[in-house]
Amino acid sequence: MQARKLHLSKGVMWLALAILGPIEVHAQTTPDTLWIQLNEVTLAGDTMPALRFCPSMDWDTVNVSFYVNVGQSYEVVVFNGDSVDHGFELGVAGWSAVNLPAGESTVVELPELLEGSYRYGLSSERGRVLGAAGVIVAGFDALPHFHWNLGDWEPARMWGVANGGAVDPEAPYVPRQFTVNDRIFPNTLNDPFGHVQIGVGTSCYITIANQGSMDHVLHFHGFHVEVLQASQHPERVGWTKDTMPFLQGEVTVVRLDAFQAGMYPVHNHNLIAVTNAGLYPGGMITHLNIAP
Amino acid sequence: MNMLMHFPKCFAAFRWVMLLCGGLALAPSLAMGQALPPQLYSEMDGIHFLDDGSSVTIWGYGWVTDGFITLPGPLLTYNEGQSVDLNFVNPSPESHTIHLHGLDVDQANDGVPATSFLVPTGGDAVYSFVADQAGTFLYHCHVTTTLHLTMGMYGMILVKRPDQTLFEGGPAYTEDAPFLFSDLEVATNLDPVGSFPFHDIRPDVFMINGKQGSQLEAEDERVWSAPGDTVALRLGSMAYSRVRCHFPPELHAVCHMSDGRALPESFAVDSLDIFPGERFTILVAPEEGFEGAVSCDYWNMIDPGIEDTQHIHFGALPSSVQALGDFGAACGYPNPASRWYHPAGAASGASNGFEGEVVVTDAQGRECFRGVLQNGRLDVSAWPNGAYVARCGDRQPTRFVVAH
Repeated sequence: MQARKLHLSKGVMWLALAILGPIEVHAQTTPDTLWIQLNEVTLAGDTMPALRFCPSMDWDTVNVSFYVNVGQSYEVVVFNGDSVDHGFELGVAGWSAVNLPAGESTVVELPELLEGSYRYGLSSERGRVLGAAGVIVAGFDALPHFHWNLGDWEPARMWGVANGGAVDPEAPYVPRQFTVNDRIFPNTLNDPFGHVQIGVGTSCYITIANQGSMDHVLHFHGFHVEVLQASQHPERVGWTKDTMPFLQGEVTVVRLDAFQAGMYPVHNHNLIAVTNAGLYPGGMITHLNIAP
Repeated sequence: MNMLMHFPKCFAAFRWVMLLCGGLALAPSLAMGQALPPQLYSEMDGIHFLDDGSSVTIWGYGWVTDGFITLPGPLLTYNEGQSVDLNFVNPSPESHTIHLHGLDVDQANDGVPATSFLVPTGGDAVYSFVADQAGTFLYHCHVTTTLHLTMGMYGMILVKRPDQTLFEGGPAYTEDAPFLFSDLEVATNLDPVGSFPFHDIRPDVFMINGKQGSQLEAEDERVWSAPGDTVALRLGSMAYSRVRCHFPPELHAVCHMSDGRALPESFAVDSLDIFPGERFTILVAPEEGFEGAVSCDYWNMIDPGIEDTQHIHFGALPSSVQALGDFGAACGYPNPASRWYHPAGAASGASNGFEGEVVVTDAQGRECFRGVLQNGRLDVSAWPNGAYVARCGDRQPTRFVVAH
């Protein structure tokens, strides 16, 4: 029985790699310019409007997340390519949103940051609903560092907001797509910063930011992780968990010690969120791929 | 239309043939009189009764020896450090697995179809792992998980230490009280085939250990405690909701563990959020005579708001029950016991002169034994770990612990 299990699992792994093809790579160095762009994305048959922080003038369906040094300030030029003004917000106490006039470039001075991970995004409802948000990681660079921006998307609500409407607070929220770094499973396995691939006996950091409109909860198969930062659950720092919640806007950093080899899913345990337009499996699933 | 409800009756007979064959295959020495190893099986035509008297179809797990499935599935209990072979046979009309949630098993035993293996109709499997961490864990099917969970394919696992402490160097306690939060959407359970799409499952029945409302007020659902008892509430969630538990101050609740790991620092708790898949171990020391409840609010994870509130009820045992470990001349021994227990304290033979009827109840007041002792002792080798109360006629009741 044991031999059959291993044989099957290896076959599935190689088949998945063959189907998914080569892994794309996004730069994660500190950008000098961020381009806010409005376009459309299609996820599992649902086409919806989207705002993204792009690393260049070229449209990118994935928001930029980037890494900075601890205690060093940066100037970033933010070009607002949307048709309305926005505010640039950063999850740092005392930070005031910087106005970003439509069609203009604005210099945003990022403050000196303590070691940690921070959410950045747009302060307007339009910016949040259409999904312009990423993370800035300061420090935590002694180990490989992965990041997961969690998102949930209701196309009808997004189209309404994109066309100038407002979210009806009385209307039920029915998200149809759930993403990690703006990708749905199995495309999450194409993401070098989301699909954790390290060797057995090594460790890594993972930043998890809930950029969505609802709370989320992730479960790690095969491993417990140590909580190093939890912006809305500070009492949990130092806990060792296999399942943990991420409230709206929360940014968490965990450390994974890969003590065993294999391929292990990490997925939302609110199980509506492991679907693509209602189809299982999909949505908010990625993998820990621990090489022997 | 629930196609599964109309499965030919002959298939039910086939399932039982499969169950029997699966069991025999696992126990080739059966002919020599040895007992079958415990074996879980799955079924997809169970019936679960709700508090209002209505019923829904459930899919779930049960023991082969019981022959029925339950919501939640059977509580699986192991000792810390135990090497476990969990036997599973699937006579149901669809493939299933068992994911050992939180036990950090290897990939082969992880229960995920794409990375581990499926157990198809008529198949069987053994999930092998070492229960190397004491704590509270879960298990569930990982096939089309969104649907199979709301249909009821889940249960709880306790990994315990024989010394009745929560973890190495951790606090001791008297009794385990496992509570598994879950929910279901009646429309889905009545018509699982028609429940697509799965992103909009909205639970409308909210349960603790599969019970709700007045069902939870029954005596055998309550937590019973005597003065001085410390009860370990093993709380876990397989719900689609966030569960917020409110602990009355009379319980003196302290949180010690989460997800099968000791916390760096325990903390007093008056309310606690439990998200889907999380577990917490809370020690409570109810004040004498306390008869109240932990209220548990089920919050909608998508559109925040309380959908329902259920309760964990507490009852008080008589204070005349002798305290654990207070060995008097009339007390039983050994305490804890693993094989034999002498309730009347006899050194051997005729039970210290007591030859009347002995009644033993567990910590929830359920009768476990009634009768006259043979050789003055009880065989507790097959009893679940836990605390018990023995009454020998008019003598003062004594409490004892069974720990294997």
